[in-house]
Amino acid sequence: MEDKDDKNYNPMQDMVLTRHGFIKGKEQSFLQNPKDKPFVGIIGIPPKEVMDELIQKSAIILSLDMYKVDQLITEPTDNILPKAYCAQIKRIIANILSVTDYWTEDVMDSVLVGRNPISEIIIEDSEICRCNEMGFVADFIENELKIKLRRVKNKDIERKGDFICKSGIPLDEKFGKIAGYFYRDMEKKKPFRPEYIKPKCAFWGTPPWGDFSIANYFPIETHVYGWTRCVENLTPGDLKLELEFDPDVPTVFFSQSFCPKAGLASYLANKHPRGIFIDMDIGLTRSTVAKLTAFLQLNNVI
Amino acid sequence: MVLLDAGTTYAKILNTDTNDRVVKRVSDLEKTFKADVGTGHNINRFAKHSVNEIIALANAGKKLIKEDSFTLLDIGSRDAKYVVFENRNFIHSDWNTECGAFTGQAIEILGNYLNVDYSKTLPQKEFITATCGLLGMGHVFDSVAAGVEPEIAAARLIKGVCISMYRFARKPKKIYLTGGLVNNQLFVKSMPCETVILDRFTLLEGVKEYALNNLSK
Ligand code: SF4
Repeated sequence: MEDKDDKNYNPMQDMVLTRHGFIKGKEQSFLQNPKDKPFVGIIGIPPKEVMDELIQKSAIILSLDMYKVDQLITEPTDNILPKAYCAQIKRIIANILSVTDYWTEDVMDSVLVGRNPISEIIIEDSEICRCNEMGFVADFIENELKIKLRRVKNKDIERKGDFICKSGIPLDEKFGKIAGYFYRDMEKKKPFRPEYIKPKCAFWGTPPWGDFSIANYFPIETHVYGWTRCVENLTPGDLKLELEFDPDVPTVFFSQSFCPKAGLASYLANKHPRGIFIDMDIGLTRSTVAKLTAFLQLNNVI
Repeated sequence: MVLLDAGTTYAKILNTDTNDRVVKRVSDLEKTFKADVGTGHNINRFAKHSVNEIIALANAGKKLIKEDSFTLLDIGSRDAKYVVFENRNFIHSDWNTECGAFTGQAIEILGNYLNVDYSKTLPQKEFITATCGLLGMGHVFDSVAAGVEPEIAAARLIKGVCISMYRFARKPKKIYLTGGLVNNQLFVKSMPCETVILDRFTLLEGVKEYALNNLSK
């Protein structure tokens, strides 16, 4: 195990944050002892300059979008958010609260006494890239959790490319790699550039936060568009890019239920010659699967 | 071969050897009943093989409708779905299970509750819009409480459902309609576009196609 007092200790190693969370074993150890370094939560994709600053400070960075993503935790948010609410916002709040889990059993209690070890949360709320719901999350963090909050705007416009989106790796992995790409860029690691594959269909939208297993119904020849593609480009606020789609392949326009982007998704699905709008809350339902697989089968995709 | 379309409320059974056709309540199906192939909301309990409802609908449309381009809409008691073909190619489909849900069931319950004979009621121009059957029923009761005749209030809801189904199916010039509501004359007359009725066994034609192509090999 890494010894954090070791001179060779590189805090970047704590930042292996894919959608599968931290690399096993490291998670608990650093959460239990983050006091020696700034422990910063991030929501969304902060601009490059902010990330560079965190790296300079050797901050331990926790992606509150991704962390614990495989667990559909809604319970901690039951007293805070209505049932009909975006699964991703629920997850972000549950993630913030769950960090406290390592300190005391009673999450809500510790919230009230402000024992969350996160020293600062940075929210990227560049209006268009995130929904207005972020305003509420920000208020909750500041006023209820009393965690220092910084709102930043991501106006980065330099598109870094969409190699993962247009590659032949399984869709599920594409989501993970795209999240990982952001960190690779921070770490100045060689970007991951898988080979291009000719598409059979496309997925447009945010990652399917409520249940990533929806990705398993797509073939590997699925290109990714919409906000997820903006994330790979490291330009999450690039609406022009987000609006693009490929009219030549059948496209699933996805949104989380209760997400304002649903308006965009259903509008584009109507515009697309072979588009379908699919929304999903927490957990895939039988009818969503049937609708999706019928669409893919009838379009000879699978 | 025994084929079954097991919806939320009704089961449609077709025996392809004898051509016997039966409609009964799902709750009246014997527990031991097992069809060879089927489709519908409750299918896993009652059939050895199940076919995706939209695939069944698309197969049925291709088999039963001679035109090259068409929209086929199926309104069940709990949900609605449609397929669009152009030049015999599948173009689009959708299935709504959440918003707009339970409209078929609401219309039936409402008719019984308010004692309205839909075959004797005239279609209405005014309409009540409702995102789902339950909200729709609430609006009807409110209208009745405000002095509107029960059959008029129910007919306005039906008109509202027809309009929202027509929009849901992307406003085609002509709709081929199947599902339980084809037997409701008021519903059919309230549709805002030319409407051609296919019977309630339509989905089973699609299941039969599927079975012939996939199971007999
Ligand atoms: S999925 Fe939509 S509603 Fe949810 S956080 Fe993302 S942008 Fe906001």
